[in-house]
Formats: sequence, C-alpha cells, structure tokens
Amino acid sequence: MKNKSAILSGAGSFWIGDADSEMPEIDDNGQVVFDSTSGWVDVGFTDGVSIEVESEFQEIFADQHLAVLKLLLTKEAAKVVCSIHQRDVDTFNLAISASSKLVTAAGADQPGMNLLSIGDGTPVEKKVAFVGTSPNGFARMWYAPIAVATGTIKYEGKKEHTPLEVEFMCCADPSAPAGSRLLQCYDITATPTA
Amino acid sequence: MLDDELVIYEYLNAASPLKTAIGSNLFTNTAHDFKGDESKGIRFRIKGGSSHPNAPMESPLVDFFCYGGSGNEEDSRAIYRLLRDRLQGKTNEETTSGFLVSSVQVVIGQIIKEPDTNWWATFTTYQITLREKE
Repeated sequence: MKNKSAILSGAGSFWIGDADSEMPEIDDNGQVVFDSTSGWVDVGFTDGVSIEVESEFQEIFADQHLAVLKLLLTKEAAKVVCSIHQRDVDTFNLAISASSKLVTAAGADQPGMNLLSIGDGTPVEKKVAFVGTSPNGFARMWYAPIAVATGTIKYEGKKEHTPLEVEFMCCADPSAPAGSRLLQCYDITATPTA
Repeated sequence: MLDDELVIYEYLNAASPLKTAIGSNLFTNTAHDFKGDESKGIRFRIKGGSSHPNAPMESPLVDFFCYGGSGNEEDSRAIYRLLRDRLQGKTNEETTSGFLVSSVQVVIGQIIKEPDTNWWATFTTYQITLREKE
C-alpha cells in the first residue's frame, strides 16, 4: 500500500542511559519523555543515527530437492552507529565501553578537572534510544534495553572539526519476551483517548 | 499534485519571529508593489533541483532574497538570520497543502545590491525536500 505519510526525514535525538535507567515514557501528547534523573543523557548534536539489524541464516537442503527447503535463523545482531559533534569528556566516556570519568572540583592548589581513564576497566552495559518522528506526526523511538559501546573511538587532534563516530552493539535482554529482546521501535499513532 | 512554492510559502507564512518581522511581505518570483528599500520582506524563487522518479517528492533549490526595508544592508542580514532560524535543518513539517521533509542551507547568506532596483538584499539558497500530503 502506498503511504505518503511514511516518507519522512529520519532526524531525531540520540540518548544513552545507564543499565538501570527507567525506560522512557510516552506522554499524553504522543512524545517520548526521558527521566534525566534516572541516568539518561542526550548526546547532543549529531549527524543522525544509523541502526543496522543483521540476520544470518543456515540453508537446509534435502536429497530430493536442489533448492533450499528452509532457512534457519542462526544469528541476530543489531548495531547503532552515530556521529556526535560534541567532544567533551562526557561524550568520550559514553562512547568507550570500559572507560571512567572522575570529576575534581577546583580548590586550593587544585585545578578543577574532568579525568577520563581508559585501560583494564570493565565494559559497561547501557541503554540506548533514538527518538524521531512517526508517520502520524508523533514520536518514533528505537529502543535497545542493553547495548555496549564497541566501536573504535578516534580522537582527531587537528584543525578541522570532525565528529566522533560511536558504535553500540545491542545485546539480548533475557527478561524481555522472546522476539523482542534485542531492539524495539515504538511508532506512536495516536494520543490517549482519555 | 505538489506545488513546491505553495508549501514553502505556507511554511514561512506561519507564525514565527520571521513572520512577525516581515508581515505579509513574502513573495514568490516577482514581488509586485513591494519595495525592498522601504519594507522588510522576502522574495524567493525556485532555480533548479530534482524530482524523485519513484516517490512523490521533489528537492528544489530555492533562492531567497531578504530585504531589510529602509535600513542598510545589515538590516537585510537580520531578516536573513530570521529565515535561517526558521528553515535551516528543519524536518518533517506539515503545511496546509504539503509536507516539508527536510531543509538544508546550501549557500550561506551574502549581501548584494540588486542591479535593477538598487536595493540591499541578503541572498541565500536552500535545498528543500517536499512531498505531497496523503
């Protein structure tokens, strides 16, 4: 069915939450609301997000047939890739899975500083969400309940501004129902009736 | 049927700081009875672009000429800045007759003095992707 309303720009905002952050809520206006007190952070200016879902299949043959009889799903993977323009320590810390950040306030003989540390840390699981627009004009939210920053983070110390390429691999959430453990896309079609 | 100029006109004519500044002085192509050295306003025209062969979309290149009224060239630039706030990077905006999918500035504002009229103007170009409504 041809649906012109589904021709949309995919722009939106990219959010990263702690592993125990509350899942974002949908308000009465059909918009997504993040509770920043529960650890969600808007990564700010981006060049948009690409979300890739990869499925691998095993081909099943039988002696009596030359063609494939069945395809068995053997692997599912989902990846979220984003180019972030902000180059502060908070962004680096979000983009590197086993990093940590230490904030030191200025004091006597002590400069204020943010310290990013990398090396022999423990990978941190996050939640990620990307919020854009649904064909009905409300929110669309891609939501991964467990994701780990896996990309190669490249800090380029040169004159031209270059965005930071970050990549998150999604992991299955064993507590979610089968079929929805990796990634979900919520398209809001209407506001509540009451 | 998609009328590119009408969709752009409707989007820019909706309430905004730009609309407050220029009032009804928003024109496509020829701005009859308008004097850019007396009133603030915007004239725009489609100068090219492309039409999608498979989806009901078009991506015209649109020239905008921003006029600052009786002030100097900097006043035309102030109108240009309001236009940029209204258009640059906007996505998924519905109007009465169509839908603005995206809008990207491709030529940054430059001050000119129009040779025919001798009006100061700030000129800029956007690539605006539009589609029909359902």
